[in-house]
Amino acid sequence: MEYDIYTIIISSFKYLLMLLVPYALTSLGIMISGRAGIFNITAEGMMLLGASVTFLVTYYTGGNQVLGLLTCLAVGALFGLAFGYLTITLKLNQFIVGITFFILTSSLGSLLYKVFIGVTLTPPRVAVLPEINIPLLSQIPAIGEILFKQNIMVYLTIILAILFHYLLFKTMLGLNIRSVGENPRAADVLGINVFLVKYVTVIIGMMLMSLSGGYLLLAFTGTFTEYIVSGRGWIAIALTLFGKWSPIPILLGSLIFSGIEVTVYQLQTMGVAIPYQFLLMIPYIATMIILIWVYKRAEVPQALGKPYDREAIEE
Amino acid sequence: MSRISHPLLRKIIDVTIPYAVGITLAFIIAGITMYLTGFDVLLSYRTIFLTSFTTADSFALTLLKFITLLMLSTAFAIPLMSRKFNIGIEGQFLLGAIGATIVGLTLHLPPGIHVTLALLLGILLGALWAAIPAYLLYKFNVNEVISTILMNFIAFYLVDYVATGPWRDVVPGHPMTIPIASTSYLPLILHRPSIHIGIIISIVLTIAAYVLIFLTIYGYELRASGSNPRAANVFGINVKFLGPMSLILGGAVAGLAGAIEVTGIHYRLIEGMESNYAPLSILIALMGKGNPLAILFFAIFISVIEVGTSALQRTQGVPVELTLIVEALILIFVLVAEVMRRR
Repeated sequence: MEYDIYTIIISSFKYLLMLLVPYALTSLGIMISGRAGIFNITAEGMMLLGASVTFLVTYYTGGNQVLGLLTCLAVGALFGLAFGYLTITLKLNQFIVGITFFILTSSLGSLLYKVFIGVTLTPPRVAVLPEINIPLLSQIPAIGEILFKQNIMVYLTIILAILFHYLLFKTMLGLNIRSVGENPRAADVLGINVFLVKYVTVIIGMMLMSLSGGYLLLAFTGTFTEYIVSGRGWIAIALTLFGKWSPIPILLGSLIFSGIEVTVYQLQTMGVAIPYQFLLMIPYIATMIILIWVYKRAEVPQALGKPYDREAIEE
Repeated sequence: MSRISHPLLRKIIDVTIPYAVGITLAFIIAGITMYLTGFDVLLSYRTIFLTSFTTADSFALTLLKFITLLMLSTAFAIPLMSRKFNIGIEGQFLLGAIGATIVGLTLHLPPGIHVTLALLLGILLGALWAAIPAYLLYKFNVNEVISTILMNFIAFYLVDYVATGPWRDVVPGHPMTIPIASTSYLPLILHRPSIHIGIIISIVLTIAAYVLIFLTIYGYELRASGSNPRAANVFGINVKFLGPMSLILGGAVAGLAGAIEVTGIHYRLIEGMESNYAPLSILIALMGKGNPLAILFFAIFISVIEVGTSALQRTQGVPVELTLIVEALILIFVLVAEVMRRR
């Protein structure tokens, strides 16, 4: 048994940042629509559909990853629009629509793959996202390898979180979004187009969930399976609560969930004397524990989950 | 519509029209999609709707699916009455299956008692699996949607642990346990094709759920806690307790469904035996608005479609996920049509 500790540590940290992306992207998507009052629990299914679409488009265009991700964003936008129509315009229960959309999108993800690819002996594969070597910085020992030799989505996700933070808390637009989620009636009186804000944030949110699924596929496996998301969409909801619906805490919190996954992975490869099934349960059990801790000091947008009705008489 | 004056007739039409619209639209969309992807639409629809009634075997298969779907829908419907979403029926079902397998493999008892104990441990473990999220909801206000679904993932690995452990049957390649003792088999009410007593259990249970929800004080309080928790609280109803309690009740029913699946069909624990049952059942329960009698009707409908689609997968290669997609579309269109009619 010979372990090169240095390589293990470097690869673990590198993996930590790579795995941060799906959690952070999905959670930012849940957060942005939640900030405008819509609780969208479709994530798990939307991620699977995103992964499926990304794979199919990339595969059939001969490895065009950009086109794959763009199509997956478009599909996300389409489902966001539909989700918005049902929950904002028709004011249907957001949980019921969310559960239905979760089942619809995950079934559609599997179905599309089966229709186009079918069952094959060796699953078709597309290339994974290339590493980007940032000049000079990537030459720094250890740090360079971990921080400056990552795929583009790692950088974009971190930038997006910072951008969302700035947008939400430092701009007029952000104030408007937040006021729609806290008190839509007051926002309406102030002349904010409540419905437009809700629609736009829900669509952006769903696009991010879809993109997150596409990333999972392009960053790690390059092949599609029905188990590619395996609960990360649900865990991202817990992460959003943990991050108090704020971009920077969500970004930092995603390190915890990503860290748990990396730890489980390393424990598995090290061959500890615990049955692997119990190791693989750890992320879900940890999420339950985090949920308990979070709810003691829950902070949610005041009007979260409640449809806004202009004509309704105020309570 | 205004010419119809009879109030009951009026009400029936009001309720059924959205469903007729929803079902028609969903099948039109599915038909167009199948046409565009190059499938024979008419033949496909004939397979989907008629397969269940062509042979005795496929009719029996439809009944077996119906039992599981009916019970799991009821397991989702009971908590739904207090606006709790028990997405954990899948995990509770699997725990029930594990419970029945444990009793079936370890105990040596006379037939009647053995199978009863197997079902009882299934009920108990299903309830216990739901009791964890229920307790977290009661004590820490943890959202049951997320916690019950996390319990599902833990259940998958537990099944894998049992099915690949000391009880593993090594002959088939797929992870599964060795068969349970024949004394723990569920009695059959019909031989060749075999139908087990679960059909009676599930229908009795559904009627019992209807009575519980609509004819008892507990059911009244449960519905009140869901539709208007604040008012219910004022009237002295223990809202905080009812929701979690209904989750545990749902877990018990789902556990029984899992135990019946093991003692009535597979006679062992098989990885992946949960199939698509949980999502199918969740949509059935939502379509029926949690009303067990409506659920009974939709469970028949979806079982027929599910068996038809499985046949279609064999003959034409249309993936089984088609049932779930059609079902989800029906539900969405029903909800939309209801809003439109109210306007």
